[in-house]
Amino acid sequence: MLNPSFVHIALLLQLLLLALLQDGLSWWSSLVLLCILLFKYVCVRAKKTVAMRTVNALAVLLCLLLLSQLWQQDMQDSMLQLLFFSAALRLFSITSALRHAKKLVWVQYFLICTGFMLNQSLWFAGAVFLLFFCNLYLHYLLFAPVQRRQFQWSEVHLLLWVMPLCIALFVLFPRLPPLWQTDRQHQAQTGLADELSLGSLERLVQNDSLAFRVEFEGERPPQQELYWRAKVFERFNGQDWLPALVPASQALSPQQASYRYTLVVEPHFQRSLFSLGQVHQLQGQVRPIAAGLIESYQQISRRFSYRLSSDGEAVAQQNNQEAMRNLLLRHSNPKASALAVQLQQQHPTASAYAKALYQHFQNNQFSYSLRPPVLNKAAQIDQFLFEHKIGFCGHYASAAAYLFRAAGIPARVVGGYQGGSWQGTGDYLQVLQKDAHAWVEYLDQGRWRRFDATAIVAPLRLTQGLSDALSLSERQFLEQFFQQGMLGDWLQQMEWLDYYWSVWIVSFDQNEQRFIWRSIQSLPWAWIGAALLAFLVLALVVYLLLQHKTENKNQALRLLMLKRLKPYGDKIVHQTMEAYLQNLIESHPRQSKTLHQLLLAYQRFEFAEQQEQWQQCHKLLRQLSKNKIGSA
Amino acid sequence: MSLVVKWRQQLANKLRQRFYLWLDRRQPAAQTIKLRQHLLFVFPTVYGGWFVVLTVLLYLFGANYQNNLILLCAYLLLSLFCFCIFAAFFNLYKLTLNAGTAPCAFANSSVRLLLQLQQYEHKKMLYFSGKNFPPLVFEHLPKELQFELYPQQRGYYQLQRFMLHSCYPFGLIRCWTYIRLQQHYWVYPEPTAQKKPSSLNLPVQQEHPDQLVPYLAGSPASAIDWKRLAKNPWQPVTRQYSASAASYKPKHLVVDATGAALEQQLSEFCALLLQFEQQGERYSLSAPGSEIATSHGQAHLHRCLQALALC
Repeated sequence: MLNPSFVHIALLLQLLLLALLQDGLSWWSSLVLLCILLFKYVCVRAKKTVAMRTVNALAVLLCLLLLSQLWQQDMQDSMLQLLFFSAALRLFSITSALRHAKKLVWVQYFLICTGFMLNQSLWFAGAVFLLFFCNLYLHYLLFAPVQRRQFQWSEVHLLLWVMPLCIALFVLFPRLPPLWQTDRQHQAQTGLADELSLGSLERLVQNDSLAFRVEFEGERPPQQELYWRAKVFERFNGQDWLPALVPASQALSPQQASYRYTLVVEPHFQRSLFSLGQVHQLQGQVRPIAAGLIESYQQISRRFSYRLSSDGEAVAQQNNQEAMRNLLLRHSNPKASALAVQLQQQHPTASAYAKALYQHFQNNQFSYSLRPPVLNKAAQIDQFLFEHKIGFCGHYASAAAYLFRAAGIPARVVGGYQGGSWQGTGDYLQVLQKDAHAWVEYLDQGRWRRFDATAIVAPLRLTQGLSDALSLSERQFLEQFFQQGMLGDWLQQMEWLDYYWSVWIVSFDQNEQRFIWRSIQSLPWAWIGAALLAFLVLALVVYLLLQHKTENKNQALRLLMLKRLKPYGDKIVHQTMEAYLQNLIESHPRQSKTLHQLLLAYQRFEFAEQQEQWQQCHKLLRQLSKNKIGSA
Repeated sequence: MSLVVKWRQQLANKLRQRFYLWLDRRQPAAQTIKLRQHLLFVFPTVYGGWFVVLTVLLYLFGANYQNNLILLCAYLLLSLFCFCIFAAFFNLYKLTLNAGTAPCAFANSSVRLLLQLQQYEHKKMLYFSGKNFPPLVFEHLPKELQFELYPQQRGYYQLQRFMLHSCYPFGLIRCWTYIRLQQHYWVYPEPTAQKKPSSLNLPVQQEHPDQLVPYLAGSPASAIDWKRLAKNPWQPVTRQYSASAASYKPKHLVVDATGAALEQQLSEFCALLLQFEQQGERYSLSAPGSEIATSHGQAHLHRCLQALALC
């Protein structure tokens, strides 16, 4: 017999799940599911059952619909939808028989767990786990007594024992590497563009979502050194900067590094990863590639964590081809080329030229804005440098790289993030999508030096983040929905929690597992074992002593009574203590009152376990033996 | 084809016999049985098997997408499964069944058998099933179990080995046991009215009481005139039958029939014995293998009926 509340709870659960999994469901499937659930609710209210034929017909129809949509959708989303349909139809067809309900619970377990494919943030996970336990309750209802419906505390209590086992499994159970490749093309919002054209970062800047988080061990770099390199653009086609065609991988040279840090990257569906300066050591599923960058073996489609050690030094030049590649230039901006030649003649060395360029940007009223006027001429760099003189990092980087190359100095544009804000009490650095940045690296004495014109134009952009560098109206544009005050603080606390959630739970992997194993192995096991053994032995001894004592107390009293009462008469072997006392009462009328008291006290001590009677017995016994001696 | 079926049946029977022999050695019939480790069997149910499949699927899924939270769910389900092993075991563990006194019933009517339970308080969702009673389901156990045994032929029986099982709490693991209690029960011959007057030393049917006397403590309750009692509850009266015919001449029944006639005779004697007892007469019985001296009372009646049952 099915518990009467089962169907209602299941309906509620699926409704909540429908709301939660919106991201993975197409609009038509959400609609269909909602209709099914509503219809089931009406049926339950009217106490009608649904014919199996209807359900089967519906199932076939939905499968066909799903198949027709298959080529448009992601495989994973299709699977999620299929699961959800099967769960909803299972619920639709449920009767009082247990068979369907069992299958429903099974499918719902699967469905709820696949919800984690969509999102892994703390809040989503909390909601999903809530539904998971709701399903567990449904599962319990299937096999629990129907008559007494309330949940018993003792069972919850027992269930708590599941948790340590689960945690132990999570921490210690071996993990498999991925069995097959799972690619998922997704339009994620990221500050990493595949190409850099003037004005391409514009859309991103308003995005307040998280890009990645960093935790430093030991020394932290100063704010103005936080240039997170992710991509290098080496090809210039006159308009846009594009990545080099053949990125060659290069081995790292392990050296003493000044910064050691762990990054937790939000999914951006690319392989590029972030690093500071010259990387020396890697840890995690990452590899070094050309231009001192690193990338992951797979697309980042979930939160991903890795460890690096690097120093703030400029990246070393790899080979001559790299330098040659970064000199190629199509002179599409005549005014800029002329300026470059002119400056080059005055400042022949690369570092002097860079200084001169900084001065040029400083002295010619360049300004920083996220909403610069549109560059509509063919020679965009000329228009920016000599007409508008207003723009953001993309404009400055593009223009500066052009000026370097035009002067015969190898230069390239680097895309990544700059800065970030320290969270909590400065435990970790949080880098948002709006911190996306672009700058230039030019070759000087075998190293790629950084040149960031934005730093000159808007110095606050580096030290205090983007929002401080902007004027008031610009800031309002940027912070349309930014909450301040208590709510802001609270949100920050939540961010902090979410960070540790992602560090400890979501991105827990083989490396950390191995680390935990190693630290467990390195524990002083001999000492722990000895202490445990000693404790057990001690507990056993105490237990035995206690038991012995309680047993002995009665025995001792009986022996004492026999000894003290011997002058009054011997006890017959099979006689009970009470019968013996009764006999004594009859045979010694003078002492009968005391003896009667003794009998009562003895009975109370022995059978009602009144410990205070023990002393009473002793007192009476003393009195009795004294009396007998006195009379004798 | 039929040969294969036959062969398979034979094999199954043989295996079952071996299993029951093994059980008899492991748990011989006892007056009191406390369910301990060596009596309880624990194994996953079919649903439990599907649950494990779910766990493995989720683990593969989580491993493939490198999704720790799906892995966490898989581990949660796995540890739930492990918890169920213990929970199912402890749901039966230490339950104590005590055999009661041997109940009795007439042939072709069901026997009501009572078993006393101890440590039954937290046990839930138990199913009793056996060969000689319809399956019983208990959401919570009562202090006293009542079995309605199927009607049987006359005789002295022992309660057969029966099964007790439970899938509580999550239906993933089944814990069960086969119990054989030292619990006997009597099935007396079915009483049927006499068809032909017997040549034996039988009393004349007494239909009307000779006189009514005031009730004295100790008089058989069956002799009370209930109709009069209803009219006048303060003065109960008992019917007294003619002493000359009944009380002074003890009745003596001799079982002498054989074959098909034996059953008929036993049934008739059964009815007679009941009638004698009701009328407060003294009677004796001689059956093959047992000789019961003249007496009366419930204990005597049952002794006689038992002798009849064993004929």
